[in-house]
Amino acid sequence: MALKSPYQAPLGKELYVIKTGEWRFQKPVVSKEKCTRCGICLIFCPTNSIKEGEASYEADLETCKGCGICVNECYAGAVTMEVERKG
Amino acid sequence: MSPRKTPKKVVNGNMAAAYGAMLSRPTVLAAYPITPQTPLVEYLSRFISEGLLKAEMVEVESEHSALSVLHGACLAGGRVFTGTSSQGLALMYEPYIRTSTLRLPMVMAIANREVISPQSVWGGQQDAVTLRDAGWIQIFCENNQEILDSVIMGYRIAEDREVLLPVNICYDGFYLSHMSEGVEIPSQKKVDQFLPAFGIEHIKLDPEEPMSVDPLTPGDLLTEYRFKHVEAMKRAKKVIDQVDGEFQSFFQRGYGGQVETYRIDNADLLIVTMGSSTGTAKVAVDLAREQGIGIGLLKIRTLRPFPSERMVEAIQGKKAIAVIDRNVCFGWGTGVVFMEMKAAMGPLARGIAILNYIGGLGGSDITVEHILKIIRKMDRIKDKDFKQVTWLGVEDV
Repeated sequence: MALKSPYQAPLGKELYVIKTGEWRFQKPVVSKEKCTRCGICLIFCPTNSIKEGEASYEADLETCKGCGICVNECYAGAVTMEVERKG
Repeated sequence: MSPRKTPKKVVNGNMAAAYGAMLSRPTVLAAYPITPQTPLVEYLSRFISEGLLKAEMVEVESEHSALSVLHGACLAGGRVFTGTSSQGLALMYEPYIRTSTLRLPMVMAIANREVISPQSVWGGQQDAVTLRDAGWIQIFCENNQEILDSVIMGYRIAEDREVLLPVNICYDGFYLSHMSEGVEIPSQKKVDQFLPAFGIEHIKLDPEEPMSVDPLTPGDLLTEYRFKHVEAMKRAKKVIDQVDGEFQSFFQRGYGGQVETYRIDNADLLIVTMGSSTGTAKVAVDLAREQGIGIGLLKIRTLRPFPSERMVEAIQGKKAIAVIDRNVCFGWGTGVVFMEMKAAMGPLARGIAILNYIGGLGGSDITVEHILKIIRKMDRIKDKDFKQVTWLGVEDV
């Protein structure tokens, strides 16, 4: 029998063990040219998915649920949502 | 019987539970008084004030808070104890289910009391039986010695690595909670040998090893945790029997684990009881045996896990069975033990006359005379033409 959790009781190493990335139908795409690295997207992201990349901030698609709040908040207009075609 | 050195004390059921708890060395207690459990809280407070029990008693404003406090204490590595009754248990409903589904090993006494309405403070098992599907192990006691012993055994069962589930020790309100009888109080040294200290590992609050307790969990994982919970409950059957056997070798008294049988050899009739009516029924069985009636008794100790296998073993060759229920299974119109037994019997139920008597509700008595009448009725049953459910005190037996 293939069990997924090594635990007897519900626990995890992080607050969410749910993979919210599976809910997404569109993903944020950050323009490296426009990004001013102000970090407002990181502050507002409800799933704490934004990580600081080398040239710009980027979303971790494991947990990004594609809500688009980062697009709404970005002063520089550096984030756009791109529809993903899955399945 | 061999001479015993252990002194006996005359104590009521609440005091027996308090002694059982004290001897189990809990570190944190939290309880809110409610009739008929109230003296239990008072006794535990007294043990602490007299320095007999080194534990912290958290004064809370409700049963909901009592159990919630114990969640934290248990997760932080404490051995915890509480007790309640009836409406208090109802108010505890929300953290009650979380206790079992978080797999927190603890022991909680329930002084069984009727649930309202009508307004009543008296005995009845409706409070605990209503929560039989909430994931706890539920053990029902016949007398005060069994209460004390079951609390100690309860920790061994709850903390067993194969189980890791909370345990209710249930005893009939007033019939046991306020009834005094001689009880052997085992020595602390002996209990310490039987019940070693417990260190929680499977789920805990520990800054050295941080983990997120009860994170938002998707359906597939939730299903897996339910599966594991049910498997643990199945394993508990064996553990309950084993712990009882070990207790017997330590303390020279045992209770049969999941079920206890009484004079069932050469018996074609069987009385089934759960809780304090067992003592009454044993007297009735003895009297009926003197009259030449082949009657025995099966005492259900664990409503959860339900002792299907042990029960089926005990009913082999029986012609008629009468189940006495101090509770109601609404919807089926029977008692709970009766309904559970019929489910466990399956096709076996076809060949046996199985009768149900509902009584003893709200502090009304189940008497020796009631049970003798039931036994005589069973003895007269010739075919399958009998009334399935009879309400003691409302209908003639």
